[in-house]
Amino acid sequence: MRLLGLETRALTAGLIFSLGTLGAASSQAADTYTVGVEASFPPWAYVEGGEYKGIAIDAMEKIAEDQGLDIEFKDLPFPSLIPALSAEKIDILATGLTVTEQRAKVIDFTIPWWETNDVIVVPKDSDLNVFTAVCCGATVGVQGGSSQKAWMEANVTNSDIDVNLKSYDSYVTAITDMLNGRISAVDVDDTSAQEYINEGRPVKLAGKIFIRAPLALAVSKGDPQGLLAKLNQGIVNLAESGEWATIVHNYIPGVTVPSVPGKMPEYVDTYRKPVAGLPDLGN
Amino acid sequence: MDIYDVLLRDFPFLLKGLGVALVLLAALLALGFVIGLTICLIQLYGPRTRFVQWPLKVYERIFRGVPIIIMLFIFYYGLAGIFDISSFAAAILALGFRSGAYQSQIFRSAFQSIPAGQMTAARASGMTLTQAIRWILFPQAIRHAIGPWTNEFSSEIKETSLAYVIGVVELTRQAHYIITSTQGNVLTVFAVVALLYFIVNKAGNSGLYWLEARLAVPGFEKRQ
Amino acid sequence: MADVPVLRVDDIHKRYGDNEVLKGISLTLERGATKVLIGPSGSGKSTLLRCINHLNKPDRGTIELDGQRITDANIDRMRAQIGFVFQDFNLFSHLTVLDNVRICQLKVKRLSHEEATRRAHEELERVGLGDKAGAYPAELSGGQQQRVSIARALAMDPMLMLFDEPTSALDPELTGEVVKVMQQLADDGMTMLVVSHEMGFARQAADEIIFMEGGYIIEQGPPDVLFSTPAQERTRAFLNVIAEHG
Repeated sequence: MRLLGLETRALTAGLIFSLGTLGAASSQAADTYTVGVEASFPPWAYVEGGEYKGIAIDAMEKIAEDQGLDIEFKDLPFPSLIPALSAEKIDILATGLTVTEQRAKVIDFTIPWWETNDVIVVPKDSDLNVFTAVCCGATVGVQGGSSQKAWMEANVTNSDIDVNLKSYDSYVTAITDMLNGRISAVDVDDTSAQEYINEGRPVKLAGKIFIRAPLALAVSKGDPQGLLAKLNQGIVNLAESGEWATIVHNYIPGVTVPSVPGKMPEYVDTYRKPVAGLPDLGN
Repeated sequence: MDIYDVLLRDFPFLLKGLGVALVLLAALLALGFVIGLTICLIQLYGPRTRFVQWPLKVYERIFRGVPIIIMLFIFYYGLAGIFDISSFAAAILALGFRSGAYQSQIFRSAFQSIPAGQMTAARASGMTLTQAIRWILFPQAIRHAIGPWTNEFSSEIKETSLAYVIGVVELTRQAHYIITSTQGNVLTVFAVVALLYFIVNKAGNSGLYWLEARLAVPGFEKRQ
Repeated sequence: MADVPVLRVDDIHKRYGDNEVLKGISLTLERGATKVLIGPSGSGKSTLLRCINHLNKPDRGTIELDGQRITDANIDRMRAQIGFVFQDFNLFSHLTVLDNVRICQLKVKRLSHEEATRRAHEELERVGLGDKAGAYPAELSGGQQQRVSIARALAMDPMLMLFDEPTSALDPELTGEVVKVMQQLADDGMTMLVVSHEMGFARQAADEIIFMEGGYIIEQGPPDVLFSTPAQERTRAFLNVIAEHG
């Protein structure tokens, strides 16, 4: 009985502890902005040796420094990032985030800082090309919630092309599954694909889909924190100072850095004149 | 750097992730214990009115019926408008409330397996309801509950790995970091992670079996 | 003071749904008296016993213990002064014999550990189980368990003992040891109300036999009178049945 008494006390302590963590949650410093990242998305954001790394991480830190913002990173799985931004659990989204019409309805984009095209990746020893890889009953892997998935759904699976899509929680898992022979190809952005090849994974590019997709940072819809102007200015300053190219080349040596700002699609509200922080820009 | 060097270098981070998982596990089981025991006691010994009993039934149905991922999202995002809640706190609440629904069942059948006459005898000797529960029923119910509770322990360890969807960086997420930063090695990394989960599970089960054996008295022999 | 009975039951009614089990029962128990309730099954004997300490709450009527009315407010204090022995013993399975006898002294009467232990050993000696203090209920025979449950009740120093068919769940060869303990208690001057079919005990130990049927007390009187020359036809019929089977 004494033993049980002890146990009850230990459990009570555990409960008090867990209530304590609840309290701690709401007492975060108010002027630190939380930057949501998907930290398993190299070269944009990942964790190595316990530290955040990647193009988006380094660039975001520079922008914050330039604009005098206090930031902290928070890792969330990719499908969770946009809901987290909508619910204002994070203030800024910084990852390899493609600008799409659908996303523009629920979050506000900064000016584009990168441009990608999608590529079809196949195993090194495969003889598929971009046409044979995406047809004839093939299964193509994409990351759930990604722009590649949306593009494939809009342009391929909804047409008479006979292709199955398989969603993964990350591209790395999709590539692994492909190398295990479960799927025949993976549709991914060219930046990531280059990374896989640089890392020495036995994959090759079967072909490119030129979609010229702009990538950008994002804030909650309506920009409740007033961050958009600062981020836009920060991006332009970063590009003009040449630091942007340095960061990018640090992660993807030899890549051509697109001009900043990139293509600004009309369907994005925040790209109409006057663009926050950059009144001369826009369409 | 091959994957074994990376694993060796990043092992402290895996252990940190394991630590997060263990604290989450302890907190959710403790919360579930308190909720489960409270629900069970109200159901068995509380007012019999529908006004009290019906909401408890609804609570159980909801938390046992809704997939845990959805619960995690509801607690993390859904409560965002009401009060700001950290990923970790949301995970404790979502998993703990659900564990409470399961634990209430474990405790209910544990209490029900005690012959009703013992409660009567305790009350007839002048014990209050609370005293009778505390001194006569609870020590016996705990003995009956340890077996099923061990199952709950094992299944909740696995559930903690889902907390990464709302941004809790626990063991599985740390493993994911290694996999993505090294481009692959899914099998090797997850084999190590599986081993860590296995060790925790084994240690927890052994502890609970030890407790069961320790508390065993004639009439409450450890059942195999 | 002397004329206040230990127990006064006045006009107790109890109904379960459509079935009125007790239809106005009154009786008194003087200090040191032993009364035995007999009657066919379903006559309401056990219900009456459980109504006395409100294990089943009476619908109507009053119970007084030593001149004090039992109410919802004082029920736990009153119950602590009424020992109750069940048909099924109802020992606490997770506790040793010693702890079974000690626990209510410690938790209800809040006696010191030493005092409770001393009283427990005394009562276990009285029921002849001094050597079983460390055993668990599951290790005892039915007769031994029932004697422990009597010791458990006695250790609370009750002013009244209620026995609800204490030998009915026992194998016939084990009833003797329990009856012997009850007999000894009656001789020692304990105030007792007993529901039992042990006619030998009733004849020897009872000051009065109360015959119940259909929720009423049909007849009561000293055992030698009631057993030999019952006034009521129904009492006679019941006694004949008992004689044939017992």
